[in-house]
Amino acid sequence: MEYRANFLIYLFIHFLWAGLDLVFTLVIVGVGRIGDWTVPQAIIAFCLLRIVDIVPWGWFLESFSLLPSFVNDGGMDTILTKPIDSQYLISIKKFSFSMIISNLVGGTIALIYIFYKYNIWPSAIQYLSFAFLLVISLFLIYGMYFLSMTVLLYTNRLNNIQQLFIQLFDMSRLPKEVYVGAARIILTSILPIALMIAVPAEALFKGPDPLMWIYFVVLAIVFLFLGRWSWSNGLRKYASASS
Amino acid sequence: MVWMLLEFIPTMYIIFLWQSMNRSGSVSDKQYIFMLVYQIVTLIIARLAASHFESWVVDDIKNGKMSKPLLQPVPYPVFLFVLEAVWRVFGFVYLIPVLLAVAFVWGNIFINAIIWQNIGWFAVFMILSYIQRFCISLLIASVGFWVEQAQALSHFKWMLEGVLAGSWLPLVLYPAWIQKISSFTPLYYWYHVPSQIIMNPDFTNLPLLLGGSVFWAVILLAISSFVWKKSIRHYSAVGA
Repeated sequence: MEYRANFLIYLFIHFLWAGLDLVFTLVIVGVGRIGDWTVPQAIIAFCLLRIVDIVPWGWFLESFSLLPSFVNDGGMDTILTKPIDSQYLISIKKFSFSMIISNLVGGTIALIYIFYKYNIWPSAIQYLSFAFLLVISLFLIYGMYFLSMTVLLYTNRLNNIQQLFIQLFDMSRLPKEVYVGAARIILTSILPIALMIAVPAEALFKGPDPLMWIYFVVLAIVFLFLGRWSWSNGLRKYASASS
Repeated sequence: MVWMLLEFIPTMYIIFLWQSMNRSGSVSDKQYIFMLVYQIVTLIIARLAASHFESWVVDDIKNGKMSKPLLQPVPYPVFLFVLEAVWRVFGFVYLIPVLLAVAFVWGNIFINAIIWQNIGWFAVFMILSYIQRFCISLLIASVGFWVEQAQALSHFKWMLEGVLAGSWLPLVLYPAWIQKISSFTPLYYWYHVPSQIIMNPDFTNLPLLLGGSVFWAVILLAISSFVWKKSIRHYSAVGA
């Protein structure tokens, strides 16, 4: 926040991206149905995606994009010698505040507007389950993203690896019904991208699905543990640039 | 490997979306084939004709690393032009596995959908598109001599490219007023015109479009060259 002009410029840019993303969604729903989602459901999912986007784009990408240089240039040494857990330090290195206003405020206002316009008012149970699943989704996003970044400790020279999850995350804007065959199996299990936005979004406009929710929680736990294990194991293979 | 996946993923999920709409009946078979071919054609155009050097050039300007390139006997824009062109061609290698997979799965569709006798015109428009996009990137990079956050302009470029150039969705899906605005900009010639040439048998007015594309290439070359020469006078670095 030392450069307020930068903050304001990127705030404006994020608002524009959100607007364009909405235009893209409206054009798509104008052409046809997205999976088994109706128009308001697709727009609700879009609003939720914008809100959740703060986490991978505004937080994790900012922090994790520093990791390749830390691993390749020996900057990891400083992190590993700190008395704080290295995974925690890597994960909170940097954050972009400009996305908070545009995505959180804009996405929430858009969500409320859609509820009002289409007269879809979720029940208290739906709100609570949505809130719970949203938190689980954030953990799942973190677990998967961090796991993908730990590959650096094993390969060293993968300077663009932080872009991979971000590209995959874009696929979460579509419901799992869009994907068929092997793609659906992969995107709902090994790489559960198709569930990240769909499961919390559908809690708002569909009935409860306890089996899917339990599965979702299990996936988040599995990926968090996998990320942690891969990180700890990878650090044993890490060879510093200076020692 | 990562670059190949980065090329593949955005195109694949859009293709999944159109497949899903085709299965549900929202989109006819003909429309689905059009969208499928369009996605692959725009992927090829993006790989061969895009220009993205502005972010690292702006970084070099901010960090004082422009001193050495500016002292070289070859004008820096010429160096950048050749560098980007070579990178475009070499970067096509990342696309080959994707294209092979596409050929394996949808080969018949492509053979029938592409107007092969227009490949020459397609190549001409791609070259002109590259020149225009290079000039736009050079203009954005030039702003780096004046403004600290010139990279923000790249976002505007990507947004305009996504909507007015048709890189996200075909222009025909947007309202008529957006298509009209696009036709008055060089963005019209970046994705829409080349893709129509290679896909649309009813596409006419090639000489007029060629003239339009050449016009924009010349104008943008002149403007970017002028702005660059004005901008480098503002450059200062330690020891320079």
